[in-house]
Amino acid sequence: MVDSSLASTSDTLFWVALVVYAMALAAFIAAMAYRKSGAATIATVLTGIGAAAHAGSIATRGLAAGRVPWGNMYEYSSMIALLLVIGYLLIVDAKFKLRELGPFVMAIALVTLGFGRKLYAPAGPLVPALNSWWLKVHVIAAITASSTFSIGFIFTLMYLFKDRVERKAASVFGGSTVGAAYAGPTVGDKETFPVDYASSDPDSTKRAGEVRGFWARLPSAEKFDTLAFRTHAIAFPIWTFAVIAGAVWASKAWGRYWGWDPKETWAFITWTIYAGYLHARATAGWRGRKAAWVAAAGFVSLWITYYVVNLWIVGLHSYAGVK
Amino acid sequence: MRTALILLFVLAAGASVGSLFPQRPVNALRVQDWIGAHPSWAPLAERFGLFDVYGSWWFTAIYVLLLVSVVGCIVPRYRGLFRQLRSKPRLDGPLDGLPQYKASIVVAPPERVLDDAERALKRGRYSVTRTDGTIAGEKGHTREAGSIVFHTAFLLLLVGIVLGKGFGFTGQVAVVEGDRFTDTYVAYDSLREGRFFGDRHRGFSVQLNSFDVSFQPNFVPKEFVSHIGLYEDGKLIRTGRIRVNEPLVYRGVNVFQLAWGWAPRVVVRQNGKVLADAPVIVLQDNRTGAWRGVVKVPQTKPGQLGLDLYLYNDLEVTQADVPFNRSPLARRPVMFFQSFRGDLGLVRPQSVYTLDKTAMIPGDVGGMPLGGNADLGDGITISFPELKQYSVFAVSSDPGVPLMLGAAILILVGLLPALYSSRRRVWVRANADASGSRVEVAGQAFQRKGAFEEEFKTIVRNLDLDVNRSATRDG
Repeated sequence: MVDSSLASTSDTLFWVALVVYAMALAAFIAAMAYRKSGAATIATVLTGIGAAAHAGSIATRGLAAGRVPWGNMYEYSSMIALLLVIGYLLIVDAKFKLRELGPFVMAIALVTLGFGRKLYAPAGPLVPALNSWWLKVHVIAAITASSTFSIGFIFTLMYLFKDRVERKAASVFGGSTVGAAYAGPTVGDKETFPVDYASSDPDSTKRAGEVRGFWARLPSAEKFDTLAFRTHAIAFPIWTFAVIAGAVWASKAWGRYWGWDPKETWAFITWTIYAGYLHARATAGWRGRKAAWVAAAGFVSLWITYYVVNLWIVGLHSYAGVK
Repeated sequence: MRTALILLFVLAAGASVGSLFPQRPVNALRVQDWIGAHPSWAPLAERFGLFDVYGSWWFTAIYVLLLVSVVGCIVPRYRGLFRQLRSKPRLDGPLDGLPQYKASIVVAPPERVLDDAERALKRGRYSVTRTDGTIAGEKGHTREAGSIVFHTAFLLLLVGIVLGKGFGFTGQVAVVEGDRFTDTYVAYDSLREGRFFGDRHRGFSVQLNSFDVSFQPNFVPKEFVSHIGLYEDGKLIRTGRIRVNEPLVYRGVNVFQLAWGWAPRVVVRQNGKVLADAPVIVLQDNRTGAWRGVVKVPQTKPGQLGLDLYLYNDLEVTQADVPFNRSPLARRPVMFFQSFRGDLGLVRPQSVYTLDKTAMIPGDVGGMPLGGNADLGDGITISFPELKQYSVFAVSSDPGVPLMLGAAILILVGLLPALYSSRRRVWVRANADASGSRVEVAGQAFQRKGAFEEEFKTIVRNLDLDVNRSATRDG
């Protein structure tokens, strides 16, 4: 039933991916610290190699068990990390040219893989309750949404950092003698930001006080805020669908669509917080940093849904590969 | 919206409380454990409904308030959307004050320019109004409509939940191979009926012809199958099977495969006369692995007989003489018993899975393999001629489900345009000029202004192309 040589190949490739990702993270950090674009290129190549090994690990696992490779929390975490890395390579790096986000992506991917490894289960067939078409749909939606939320979280994080840096730069300027003539940007009201600090226009940078080093090469906080919103706006409907598909599956497998099992509860809480984020961005007094913190809270809740629930709270879902 | 936003966060915080405390509807035993471990906190926790958060008054209050707030937001928006749909962009007045504006001179006459513009806007799926000299297009009402659909769907979802809870029922029943149960009030081992359910049990019967369970080599269950016959008024309607993820659906009632276990057939005789002969449903004790159940025989004399049963389906004994099951298969079934004599206390209501030992004296202890028997004295013998299996079904009817499914679909259908589309208007005005026409193009977006800026540039470019082409055709 289970092909053990394929299963062990999968495990080996998993470790290869983990080690190569760790090397990529080191290279990304070196690139960030010493501002060497060569190191960033090496890091990107390593990320690609790691992703290939990672994809191999997941594919061989599916072949070994003779089923879709997302049947337990270990496989599930592995899929989330892979989609996150691929999403980074194809969208963040190739499309938006934001290679500076590499270290954050790799860090999240590594932690996800680490937790996944903690929930390791040997390759094997599924218990009957998990053997359903709705499982496949529910889980693939949850995985896609989670990796997209992860990228959204990184954008949110960058926004919070960059916004802080920009405000600092602006306040240095504001304290100077010219300050009287210029009110400076109002926090939490992005629409009235008069200047794009990190834009290519050198004059504007000078006018607003200087953002130096690593942060200067990144797009403006406003740009990150937009990217964060768009990413979350993609992930949210997918997550909504995942929750609905989960309810349909639960009603087929257990005879009830919703039972406030801890996993369901936290999936609902995560949904609520992200719904709050989308609303907060359109609510006066909540735009900007406050909304960003809501998004960050959503990400924390997402992790509780996956790992805290499985490792520390008992529920029906915890039989998904954890003893 | 600020109120709704706060309520949304309060709802999330409230829901999280339910994952910190054991919940009675999910696992009543763990609630007992918690109360045992924290006796001083228990009354307070009980008072605030912490053991049934999702049915507590305060959780209900949060979501009812949230829904009231949503209704408060949504009703004016219905009117707003209706007005929005009827209103047309104004065609008179200056265009150069609008956020996007471009003016140029082209060779084509105004009529030709406006014809081309109308075609282009219609191609871009704008709804177009035209007067002499000016045309206006608008699109993106789907955003507001989607948002309204999304929010309204939650009200429908709640109606579905209430309908299901009020008019449905859920029950559980264990059925031994060869037996059947009938959908009636008395048939279920546990039953919860909605307040408005009345007695709408359907009265059909399900007979368990046989039950199969198969395992992986490591004894992880692979599949449970109940082979059943469905009967109505004693007539066979159809045969089929119930598996995990494949319930039997009949007349709005779903029968799910939930669990399974062993049912040893136990025969009790006194002086050769059969006093009891039935399969006994035994439940697995998670601590020891033994399957435990009881037999109550009030007809024995002197004194009634009670038996505590301990079944091992695949008996093995450790070095320390502790019995355990080697596998979940019936490879070496052995049944141990402890007998009690005295008064079973059957006049009081009691569980079929436990003995009321208050008026009973312990008697013999013994065991027998499948096919064996034992002598208890007073001419009483017990035998274990057959080992059957039972299947546990969850039976439920939830009339709210179709509505909820519809609401769930509406949530998704509404969410997508609410997030991705945006409302915007474009105007094109052409006035005759000495060398052709003076063309003004203007635009305004209500959301996603950055994206519209790009779209506007494309619109202008496309218009210019069309204008130039018509100009060259004329020239």
